[in-house]
Amino acid sequence: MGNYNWDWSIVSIYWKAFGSGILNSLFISASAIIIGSILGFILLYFMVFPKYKILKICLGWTVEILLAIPLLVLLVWIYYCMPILFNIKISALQTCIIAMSINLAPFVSETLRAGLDSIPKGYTEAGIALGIPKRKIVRNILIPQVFSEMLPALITQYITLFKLSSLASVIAVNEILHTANNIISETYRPLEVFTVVALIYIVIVIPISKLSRQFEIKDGLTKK
Amino acid sequence: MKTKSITAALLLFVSLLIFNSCNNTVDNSKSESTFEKIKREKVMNVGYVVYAPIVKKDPNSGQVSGHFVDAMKYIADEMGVKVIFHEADWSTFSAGLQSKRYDVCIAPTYSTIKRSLAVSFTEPIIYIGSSAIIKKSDVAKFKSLSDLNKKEVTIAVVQGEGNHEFAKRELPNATLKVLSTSNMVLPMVEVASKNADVALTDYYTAKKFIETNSNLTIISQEPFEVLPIGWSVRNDDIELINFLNNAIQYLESTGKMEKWEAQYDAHWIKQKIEYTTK
Amino acid sequence: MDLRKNEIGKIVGANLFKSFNTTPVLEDCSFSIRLGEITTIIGRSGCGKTTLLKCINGIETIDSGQLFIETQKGNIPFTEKKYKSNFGLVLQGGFLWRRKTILENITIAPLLLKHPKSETIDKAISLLKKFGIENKKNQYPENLSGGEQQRAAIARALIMEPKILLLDEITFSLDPFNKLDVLDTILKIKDEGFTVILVSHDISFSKKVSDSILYMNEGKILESISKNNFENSNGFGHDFLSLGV
Repeated sequence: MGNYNWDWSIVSIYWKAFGSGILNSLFISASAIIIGSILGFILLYFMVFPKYKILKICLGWTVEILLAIPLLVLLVWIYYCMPILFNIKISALQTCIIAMSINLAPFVSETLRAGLDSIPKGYTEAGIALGIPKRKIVRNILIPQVFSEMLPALITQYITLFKLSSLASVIAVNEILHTANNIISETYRPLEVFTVVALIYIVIVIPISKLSRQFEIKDGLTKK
Repeated sequence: MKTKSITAALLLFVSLLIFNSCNNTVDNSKSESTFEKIKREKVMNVGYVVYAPIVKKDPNSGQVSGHFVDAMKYIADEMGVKVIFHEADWSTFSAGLQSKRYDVCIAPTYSTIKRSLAVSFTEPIIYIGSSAIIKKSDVAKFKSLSDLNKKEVTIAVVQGEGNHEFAKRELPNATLKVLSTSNMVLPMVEVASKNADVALTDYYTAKKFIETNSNLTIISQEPFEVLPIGWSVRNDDIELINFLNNAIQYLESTGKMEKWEAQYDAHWIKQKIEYTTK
Repeated sequence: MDLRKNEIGKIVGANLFKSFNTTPVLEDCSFSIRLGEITTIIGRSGCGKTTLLKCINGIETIDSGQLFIETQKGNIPFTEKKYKSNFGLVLQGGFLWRRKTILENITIAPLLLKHPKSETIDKAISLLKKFGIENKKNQYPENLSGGEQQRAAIARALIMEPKILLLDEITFSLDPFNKLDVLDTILKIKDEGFTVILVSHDISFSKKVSDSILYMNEGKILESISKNNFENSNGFGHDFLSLGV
C-alpha cells in the first residue's frame, strides 16, 4: 500500500454519521445488557430454586440451546422467520435488542451459577446456623457476593456483546459497522473508514476494561 | 409472591416490547394479492441495498436517493400511495422479500436464471458489466481474462455475487478467495494490500475505487459479463410485476429514467430502443 | 422452650447414626455434655467430630437416635421448633461473608429475620466492643487478622442470643498470640453463663480451656475425661491427649 493516498477528510465530512452509529451501538448494547442481565438473573433464580423439577430441566435445556445458537443466526431468524412463522413483525432495532438480550442471558446465568457453585458450603451453612432461610441466604448474601466477584467476568461478556453488536449490520441496523459500510459506498475509502471504526472501538472498550480492573482491585481480588 | 409478581411484570414487559411496535401484521390471506394490498393500504414497502448511484444513502442525514429511488417515488406518487423504504443487506435482501417485510426490492441485483427460481425480476432497467482489477505492476502479466485462469492466480470475489458465479464458471483453474462480506469494495482492497492478484467486481465500483487508488487499474476498458438489472418481487406477485413492467416502460419511453440517471451522473449500459413512424 | 443462661442440665445424644450417601459417619454415637461448661471433642481427622457438631446444632439431621437438651424444667427434643435457636455455630474458617463488612456480617441475620434495626446495631457494637474489635466494624473480613476474624465470627453467632455455642477448630492456623485472644474470648463467654462445645486438634489449647474432653473415634464417643484427669487419663483418649505439649 506504499502508493496509497490517505484522505482523512472523511472524518470531518461524516462525523455526524459516525456519531449516530456510535450512539446506536451504545443504545443497543446498553439495552441488551440490562434486559439480558435481568433475564439471566431470572433464569438463575428458577434454576437454583425451581418449584418443580421439570422446570429446572426445561430451563437447563433452554440455556444449552441459547448458548449453542450464534448471535448472527438469532438475529436473522428473529427478523426474517418470525413474520413467516408467527405473523410477528418487529423493527430491526427491536430485533437486535431482543436477540442480543436472549444471547446474553444464558451467559449471565451460567457465569453467576458457576460462581454460586464455587462458593464453599460453609458460607451457606453459616447462614443456616444463624436461622436465616436458605432463599434469603442465596438472595441477600450469596448472589451479591457472587455478582461482585463475577463482575469482571460479566463486564468482559458485556464488552464482547458490544463488539458483537456490529453483526446487526446484516439486518441494516445503523450501528457503527453498517454506518461505516454506507460511508465506504459513498467515498470508496475503506481503509480510512475502517481505521476510524477501529479507533472508535478502542476508545469505547478500553475505558470499560479499565473500569472492570478497578472493580477487581477495589474488591481486593487483585493487588495493585 | 413478590418474585412471582416481578416475573409476571417482566414477562408482560417483554411481551409488550415484542408486540407494541408491530407495524404491520403479515397478511396471510391468499385471496388478496400484494398489488391489491398496496392499493388498499395505500402503502408500498420497498426494500433497498445501498449501491451508489442507483441507491444512495447520505450517511449523515440518512436520506435515501438515487435514480431507482426517484423512479419508485414517482411510481408511488402516480399510484397515490405512500412509499416506505426499508434498508437491507446484500446477504439478506431476498429474505426480506420472502418474509414480506417489503413488497418490492430495488436492490440492483443481476437477474440470473438461478435467482429467478427464488424471486421474479422486472424487465431489465439497466445492464451492468464486470471488471477485473489488478495492480499496475501486473499489467504485462494480465492482458486478458484468459490470463487469469491459472492456479497461481488468486482472484478475490464477494461470496454469492454475480462475479463469484462467473469466476467459478469461466475461470475454474484460478484460486478463488471468496470474501463473506456485503462490502463490494473489499475484493479490491485485497488486491491493493497484495493479498490477491485480481479482484472481480462490477464496472462502476471498480472505476470509482481506481480513482482513489492510483496503483490499481482494470484489465480492459470494456466490461465483460454484462448482465441485466431489474427490480425483484415474490414469485407469485404476477399483478405487481406486470404493473411495475408497465411503469418501467413508461418511464423509459418518456425519458424520465434517463433524466434521473443523468442527475446522478450515472452512465449505465442500456438497450437502445429506437422509435419510428411510417 | 428457650434455655436461660446458667441453666442446669445436659445435652444428650443417644445412639446417633448418620451417613452421607452410603458412608457412615456417626455410628451409635452417645454422649452427655453438661450445660454451662466448656467441652472439647477431640479425635483423628475424619472420625466425625464436625458432623457431630452439625447434628447437635441441627444443620445436619441425624438418621436415627435421640438428641435432646435435658433441663430441670424438662427436655427439649431435637424435633422441637425452638431446639435450634438455642445453638450458635462457628464453622472452621469462620466463613465471614466476604462482601459484607464486619458489622454487616453480624447484623444481617437479625435484620433479615425482621428484628428491630437500631436494637440490632446496638447489640452488634456491644459484642464488637466486648471482643475488642469495634474499630474493625467497617472493615471487610480479609482486612482482619486470623484471630480477629474468629472473634468476629463468634460475635456473629452470639447476636442471635444462643445459649450454647459450638466452635469448630476455632484456633486453626492461628499464631500463639491470636490463640490467646481466642482463649480469653471463650473464657469470657463461659463466665457469662454460656455453654461452649469445641472441636479441636489443638490438644494443649483444649486442655487449657476445657472443663471436659470427649474423645471420639470412628463415629463414636469413646471416653469422657474431666479436667482433673487430663494428665493422668489412661482410657482410649490417653495416647491422643499425651500428644499435646
